[in-house]
Amino acid sequence: MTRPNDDDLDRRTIELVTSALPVPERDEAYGREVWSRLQPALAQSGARRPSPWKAWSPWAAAAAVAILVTGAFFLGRATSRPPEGPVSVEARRRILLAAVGDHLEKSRRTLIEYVNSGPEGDVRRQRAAAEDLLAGSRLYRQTAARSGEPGVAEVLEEVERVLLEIANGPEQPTAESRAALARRLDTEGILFKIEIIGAHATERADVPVPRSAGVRS
Amino acid sequence: MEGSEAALPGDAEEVFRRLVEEHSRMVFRLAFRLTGNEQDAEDVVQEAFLKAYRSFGSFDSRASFGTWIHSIASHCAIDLLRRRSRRAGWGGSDGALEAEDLPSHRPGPEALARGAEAGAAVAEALAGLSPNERTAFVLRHFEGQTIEVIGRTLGLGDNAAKQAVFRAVHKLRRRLSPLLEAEP
Repeated sequence: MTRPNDDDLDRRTIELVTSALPVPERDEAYGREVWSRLQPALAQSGARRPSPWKAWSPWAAAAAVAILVTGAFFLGRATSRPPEGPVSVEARRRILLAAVGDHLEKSRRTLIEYVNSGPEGDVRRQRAAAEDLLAGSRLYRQTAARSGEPGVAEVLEEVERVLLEIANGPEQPTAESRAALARRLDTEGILFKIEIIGAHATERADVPVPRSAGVRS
Repeated sequence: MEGSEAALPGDAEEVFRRLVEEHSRMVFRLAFRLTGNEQDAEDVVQEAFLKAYRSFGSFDSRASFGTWIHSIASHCAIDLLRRRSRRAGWGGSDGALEAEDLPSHRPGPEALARGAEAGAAVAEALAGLSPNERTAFVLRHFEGQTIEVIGRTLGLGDNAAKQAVFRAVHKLRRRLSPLLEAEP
């Protein structure tokens, strides 16, 4: 019998560790539990920051307020500002683009899997996946529309219609119906639009936040 | 940069909620593998999402949100492991830590009660690694990360990161030798 060499022992060690380490299970509801614990902390997130005014004498604080008010008046005349704080708008845009990127990628995979499945495809799972994506899609579409991203909202709406068809479709779709959907995805350019919007979202999210926009570091 | 601490409007918070719900289980698995402890893993999950929320101004969507939160969680876990090491009074260099030095890292009764002898042995062997070694091993062999990513996470150069992975495998191999020898 030959002795295993170092590489072989390393490989077996890695296999043993990665296959045997027990990880406690977390079920489907775990995400909701995390959110319910997280939400109060998010709400306090802004409020917890120590006020710089506490360290100032009342006179110094009053003088600083006067300077800020005067400065803001002249600055306000020279610049136009959105009604909401720019930091908040930027954060909202990035959160939306992060979510839309993930969502469109999952939608693309679901659509491709559905149209390419044969009779042995797991239709129940595919319909459940479409159903799950629909809930997110509506939220992202409405948020995109309110956030001044009409192109994103439009593509989300198109994808949503197809997801809805799959979610409400027959339990045993025929090969013809799958082929028809595949043709539609092609002629309406839905998969192409998903890719374009994904790239567009990336570009937009990559725009650096200007220092003048009030970003704290 | 933590530039997005301002309270978010309701719709964006709702979008963030979905991101949290979708990625929580993945973050927990990573956090548990890195910390080896359920409560610590829960803390890492919480801290990682809170940091993500506060740092959206720096989010670069060339990476997906999943990749980004994975990276944040790895950083949170390594910080926690290092704090835990300091509390345990270990001030040596990587490579000197023995499993017996950190009894608090040992698998709890839950893991042992599962009757998974190999699992318990593996958990104990992992607990004997230094924070850098453990993180390097988990990121490389559980998560399939590149040496460059591991180096960035640990604040090390590529060579040092590679060495950390190598040392981790070597120590695990030594500690698990009875199990490895028992294998056919």
